[in-house]
Amino acid sequence: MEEKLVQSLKSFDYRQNRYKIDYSVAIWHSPKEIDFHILSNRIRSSDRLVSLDNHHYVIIFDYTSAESGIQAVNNFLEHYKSTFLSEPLFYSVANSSQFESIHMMVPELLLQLNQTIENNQMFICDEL
Amino acid sequence: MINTLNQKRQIFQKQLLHEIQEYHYRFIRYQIDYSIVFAYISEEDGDLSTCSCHIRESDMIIFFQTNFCALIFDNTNEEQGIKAANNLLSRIQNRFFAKHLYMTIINATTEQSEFQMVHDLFDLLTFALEHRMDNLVVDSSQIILN
Repeated sequence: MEEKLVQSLKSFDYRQNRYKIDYSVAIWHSPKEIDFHILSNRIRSSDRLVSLDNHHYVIIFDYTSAESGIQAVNNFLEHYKSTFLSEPLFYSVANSSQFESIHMMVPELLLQLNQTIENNQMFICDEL
Repeated sequence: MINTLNQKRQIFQKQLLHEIQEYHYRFIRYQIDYSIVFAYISEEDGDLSTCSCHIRESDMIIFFQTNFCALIFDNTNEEQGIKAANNLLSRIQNRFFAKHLYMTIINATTEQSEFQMVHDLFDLLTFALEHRMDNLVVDSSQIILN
């Protein structure tokens, strides 16, 4: 899963290193199998939705700072809420500006996700 | 070539417009500039595939024919685009020493749609061919309108 995530970030990482164009990555875990692709029209053309397996999805938000990345995630959660209603969801978010390389960002992102799962800090739509 | 260009222009334009979509989206939404360059060798046995060795990962090369291609230079303003095209020309020039290599360039601007941009680039290449402006990078500032 980690390798697939790194591969999907490669083109964004290149642009970040070469042109300093930051991006945000959100990784989502759903205990139930859900099809995130239904929501693919809710992201911008330059963003990317990647399915890691049936329970893990990644969205890469192009050209976002740490702040605008969080805003994009919140916007996406609103769409998730209206589509999947009360299906629980775990997620973690990172921005490329906060890490020296994707090889530092990806493990941290997965670690954060595991921590939210272990601590049962799920996003429940009713709480929004 | 001018005849081929006129005959196949619509097909080439359609192909190019499709390929620049991603770059143009970023330009409109995030103001990330890009440039498009045409490279053409008048001799039919000319092979421009070597160009792909001299571009960056985020750039793109589109082959219309083996001796005619378009290059998209990501994140370049007008000046940087011309510089990148000249760098490319200097790298491939020796290889095509005895041939006629034509290069034209256009940069994305807010005043022009992508359709107009592609249209103008084809006009620029036609102009360069008509006036035999080979072995240099031709941009719109080099054209004197009557």
